[in-house]
Amino acid sequence: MKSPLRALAFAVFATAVVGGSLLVGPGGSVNSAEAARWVAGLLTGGHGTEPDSLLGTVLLGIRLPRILLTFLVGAALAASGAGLQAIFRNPLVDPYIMGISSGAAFGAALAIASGVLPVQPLAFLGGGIAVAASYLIASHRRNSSTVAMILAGVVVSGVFTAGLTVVQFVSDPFKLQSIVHWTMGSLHTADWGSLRAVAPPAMAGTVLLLLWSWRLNLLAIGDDEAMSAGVHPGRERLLVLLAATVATSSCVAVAGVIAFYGLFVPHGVRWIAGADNRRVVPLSAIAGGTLLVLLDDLARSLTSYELPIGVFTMLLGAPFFIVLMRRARIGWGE
Amino acid sequence: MSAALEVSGLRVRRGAREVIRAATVSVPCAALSVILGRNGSGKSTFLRVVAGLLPKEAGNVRALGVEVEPATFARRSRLCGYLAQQTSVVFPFRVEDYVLTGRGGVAGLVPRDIDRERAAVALAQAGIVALRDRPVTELSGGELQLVRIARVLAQDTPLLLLDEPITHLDIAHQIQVLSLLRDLVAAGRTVVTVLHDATLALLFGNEFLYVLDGVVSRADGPAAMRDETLLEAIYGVPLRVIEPAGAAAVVPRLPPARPRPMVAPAPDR
Repeated sequence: MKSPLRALAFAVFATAVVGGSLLVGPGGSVNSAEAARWVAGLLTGGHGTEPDSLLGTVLLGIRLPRILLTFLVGAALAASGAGLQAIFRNPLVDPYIMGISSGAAFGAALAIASGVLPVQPLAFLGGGIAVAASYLIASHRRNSSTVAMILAGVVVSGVFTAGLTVVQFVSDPFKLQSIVHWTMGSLHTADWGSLRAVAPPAMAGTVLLLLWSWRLNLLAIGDDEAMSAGVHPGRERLLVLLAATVATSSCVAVAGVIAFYGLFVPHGVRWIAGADNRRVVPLSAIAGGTLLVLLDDLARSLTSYELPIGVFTMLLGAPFFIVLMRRARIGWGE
Repeated sequence: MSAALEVSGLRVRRGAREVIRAATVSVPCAALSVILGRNGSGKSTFLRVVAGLLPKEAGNVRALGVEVEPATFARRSRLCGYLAQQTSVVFPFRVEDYVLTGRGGVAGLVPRDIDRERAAVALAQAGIVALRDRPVTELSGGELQLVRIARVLAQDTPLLLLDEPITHLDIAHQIQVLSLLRDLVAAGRTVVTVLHDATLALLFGNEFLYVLDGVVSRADGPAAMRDETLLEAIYGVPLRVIEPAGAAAVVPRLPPARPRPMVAPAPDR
């Protein structure tokens, strides 16, 4: 398939999923057919679409912000994963492995436990400290190898996870409950307010990654190659790292830790569309957003109690990834 | 002939070791200059410093009249392209996309038409247009090396600094790469390359530099480089230069083979 056509297909599919998701919910409360009629009415400007009706409140006040937030989180995590994989020249990297997610989770838990500190900024601070720590540990030796980078990330991630446990341990039962719920993902609390809080940083980071997608190719090829071409690999790597950290931290602050999502999605995209980051980053964002909305639909409708999205992505993602690893040529170097 | 490279009083330290003690050499334009020397003698370090990728302790490096400093990165990248000794390809980029990244220093966030054009020219020059759509992870060592050289060519610089471009290649690919370099020189570019094969170096090189005990010197033309004493000093082993049909070949001067013992000697206790 030609690439503009493929991009169009992706976009149409994404729109269909987002639109269709409006009609999905836990059984009983709102009838899907009724919801479809209401949406159709809204689109054609017909009657019976008062926003303050029960149906209107459910669709526009609860479902729409949740769907948009979910899409944004999926897109930002997947784009961050693609960016990190490129700058560390390693297909095994994602925001979780680099310690960003754990750092952000720790920061947010600290905010919740304190009861007064703001969650978003602390999540970002935690993510930033974690990734800076990984970076400094790994670059202590003059040329930081990707292996050192990942090892540092794993260690830092472990430390922050331990820190999170400490925060949980010393918190009172009520706060503990909200921390635990939040760590597992709190998309069910999504409303226009949380969307407004998350959208600016998540979108800023994602847009920067999208703008940088071609230059990621150069960074992914190697430092010597970048320097020969007159590019400072260190500076550009830091910029991409910052974008990924901002995007990921803001997602973690609202959706909890969604481990390995940023690893799975770019791999799936690369399998379909090749390694060129001009395609991998935007397609990862679209596919990542769409897939997370789909997964959230399942999480909302399969059972009467909601499964946390992080658990859901892990349970579905792992088998998919194992199949991908075994069947497809993933771009591991030799 | 004006000088493409002028190095004077260069000293380079890496950690505690002074790798280059003294280098005052120049390399003419539109020539294929070869750097010879033992493993670990500092050839690569010299090339990296000249390319502006490593800091120097003292001295002066001018490429085409322009002072080379790691700080003058962007400007330097318009003058000289550098090919590192080795690379690992991780992502299965298409050859065309791989070569296009050579334009990263001059293009902005997206490649322009001129960048795509230069990449296409580089592919044609390297004779690998047919490989255009192949993933780089699936190329043979020889093909990959041509792709890497094409990437440097896409930078479209008058000066090319290549570190061991033919190591690990079979003889056919070695000749292919060296012929490409010779064609580039014939087209007016200046190539400075590290080679380990002295015979091929003598065959293709116009000018010769050698690194010995941390000192970089320039041999007085190709004839001087055929000198056995000089080659033996550079490599530290007995060597002979034989000249069948005009071409010079450097071969080892081996001691007469001793008869092998019939029975393995008993190990020392």
